[in-house]
Amino acid sequence: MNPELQRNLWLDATPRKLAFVAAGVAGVFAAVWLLDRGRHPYAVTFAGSMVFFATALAWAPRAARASVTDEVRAGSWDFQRLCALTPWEMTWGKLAGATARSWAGALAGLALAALQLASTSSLRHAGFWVLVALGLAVTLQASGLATGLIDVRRARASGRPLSGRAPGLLLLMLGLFSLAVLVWVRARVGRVLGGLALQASTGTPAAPVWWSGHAFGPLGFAALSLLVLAGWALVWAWRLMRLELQFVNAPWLWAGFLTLAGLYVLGFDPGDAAASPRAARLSAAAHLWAGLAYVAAFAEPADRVRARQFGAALRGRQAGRMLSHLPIPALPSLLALVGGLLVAILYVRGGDPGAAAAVLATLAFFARDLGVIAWRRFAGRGRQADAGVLVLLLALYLAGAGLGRVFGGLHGQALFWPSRTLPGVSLVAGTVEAAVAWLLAGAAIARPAAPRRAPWPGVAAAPDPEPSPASAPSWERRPEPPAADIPVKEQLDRLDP
Amino acid sequence: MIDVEDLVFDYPSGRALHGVSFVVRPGAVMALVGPNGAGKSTLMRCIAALEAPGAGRISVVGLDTRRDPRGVHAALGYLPDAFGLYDALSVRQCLLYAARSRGVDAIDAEAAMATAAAEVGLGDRLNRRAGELSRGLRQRLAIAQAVVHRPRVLLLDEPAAGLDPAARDALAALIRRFAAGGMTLMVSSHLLSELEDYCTEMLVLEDGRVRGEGVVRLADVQAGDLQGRRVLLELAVPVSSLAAVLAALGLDVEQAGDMQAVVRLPEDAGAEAQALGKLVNAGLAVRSFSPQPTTMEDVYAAAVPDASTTLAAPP
Repeated sequence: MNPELQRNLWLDATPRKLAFVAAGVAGVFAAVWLLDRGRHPYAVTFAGSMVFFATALAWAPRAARASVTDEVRAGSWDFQRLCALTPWEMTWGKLAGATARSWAGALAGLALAALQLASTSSLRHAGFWVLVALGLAVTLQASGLATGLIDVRRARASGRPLSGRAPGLLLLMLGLFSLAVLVWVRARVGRVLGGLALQASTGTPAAPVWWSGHAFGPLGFAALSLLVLAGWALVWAWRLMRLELQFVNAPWLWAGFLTLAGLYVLGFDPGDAAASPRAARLSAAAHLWAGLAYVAAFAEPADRVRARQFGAALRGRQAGRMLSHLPIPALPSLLALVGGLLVAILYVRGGDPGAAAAVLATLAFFARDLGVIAWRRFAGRGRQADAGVLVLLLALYLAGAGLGRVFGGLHGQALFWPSRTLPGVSLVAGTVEAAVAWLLAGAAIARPAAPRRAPWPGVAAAPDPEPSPASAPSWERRPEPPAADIPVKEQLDRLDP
Repeated sequence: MIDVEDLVFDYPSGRALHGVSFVVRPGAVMALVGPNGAGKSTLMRCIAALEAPGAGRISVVGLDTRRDPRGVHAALGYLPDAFGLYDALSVRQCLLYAARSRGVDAIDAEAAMATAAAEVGLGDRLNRRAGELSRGLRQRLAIAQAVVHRPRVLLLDEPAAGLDPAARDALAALIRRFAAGGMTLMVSSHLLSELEDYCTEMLVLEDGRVRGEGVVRLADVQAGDLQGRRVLLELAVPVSSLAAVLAALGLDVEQAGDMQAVVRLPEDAGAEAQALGKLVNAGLAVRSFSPQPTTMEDVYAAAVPDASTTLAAPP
């Protein structure tokens, strides 16, 4: 058996703890039975879904994250990093082991819900729902582990202690939310989700999903999409585990994911309302890449040393070192910029240069935002810096645009907001602001950080660049010889009669 | 066994190691000493391939920490100064997990666990939970976890911190046993007295730099001495400005108070008798005049002659 799985089972899946879970699940279904008495055919499905949601989608991702962060806080993470397990063994050992207890409850809830669903609709229908549920659960749990690993890396780089709270999960939710919004708005996945909701609530077969010119059943399409996403989430956690175990990651898999994610979004039918279907598809992909770039900009550890090493590799044209030190946001940012430029070219070709200029202005503000994020994160400290960045970006967009509107009308507003009516002004302002932000970011990266305390037990604190004897209390000053109270000559005279 | 060459390591706040170079021989027990913040833990983490240096090269049992960090992980055991245990697991489970996760085959894991437990004196506590053990026993369990896969190199970062004298003695005995078994050890501490018993070599690190001539072989300096023999002089009657008095007599004074002083004498056989004669002739009430063994603190003082700091007494 995988030793990491075994250890987790020793700790977490004891008979006593499993009995508590079984009792909890049995209690939920007993309560539903007592209240409903079989009057509503979906009551058991609903209760089972709620049990699954609470255990597999809420509890288990948290446990997966804690499987790393708790090790760090307990001081045992270095011991694990020295192990002989492969990164994949460590990844699945932690995922399966840390979530074993929650899976016991989740599978019980899912099984009862699926049986009830199969009896009221069809086995195939229930099977697809099970796949959707499992895909979603694995995605969230692997993402929980991945965000835990991100938190560890971020804390190590910033020198702050690892928090007991869950900024990683917050990051994940932010990422998933922005992804969902972008895809919903741009790629009409709303139709899929809407269809699924309709089918779930009324049993009415939903309209098919058109993807890459083919029609798919919405439930099957969602199940397949989620299973693919779950696979990528596992890859994500595995790649981060590799870094913790001192392997070097080349960016090829990240590039592969970005490409496939772009192709996935490009495949959706933009609908009849789009003036330029090609521009609409490409715009959806560019928005997705931009969203991932924002999330990656926060997920990337603000590690000055690594950033300087990347800069040195860039200047020295050391391709291998450059690729291994490539900042995570670089690729999605590049793809978003290239995608945006292509959209602008399509607009120009379609005879709409105004729209093209607005796209370019948006890209300039996108570059500015990334510069602001880099500047504040490298200049600030940990989570406070993250919060400060969000506040600053909001201030630039809302307060800046508002004040600009008050004092300079539309021209003033266009200085802080990508304007469709004055895209030229926005383009110039965005470019200048981006240049300033990146200059500040460069200065923040080059400047040494203030010394900080150790991020967690077992990890050396970032030292004071010039440690002084006063900072070393265990090493006491050598005692001065006793002061002479009698002149030496007199002493010698006394000794030498 | 451990070969460090021009090692540079940077934290975001500044450089922690400035071109550190040294070699540790196979079978040596090397004391890594220096004040807090000298870079000892950082150096150990780099050797353990837990941190990637900015420049330079580290080789452990012939494996490069950058090119083959996993090979290095397999070849060594490392105990950080603040280690953690799985308190809810028994000693047996802790060691079985350590053995399996460090690459010991399933069929050999039980034997490896029993051997490691016996080595550290936990053989009779296999079913006790780690959380129920005393500080000293927890330390021993952590060391057993670090050596359960029979590594050739063991790195111990401040292993005696927080231990009572009895536990410190037990730790010293354990380290001597490991060394006798052919293991190469590197032990860091800012208290030299606790390293005195078992270390064969010493490296002084200060402000991220190696001080003195690099690795000092203690047997060599104790046999040949550093700059002559050290002699402790004790007086029956106090003399103020004793240092000046002794200097005027042509003696090399290392330390002096009113009642006692340490002087350095040349290695030749007649030097002691000659010096004693001078003291007696000068009218000093000599109570004792005894040669002193060279301690690690002497080596440190020789390595860092301009040091403004010295070692604290052990708690």
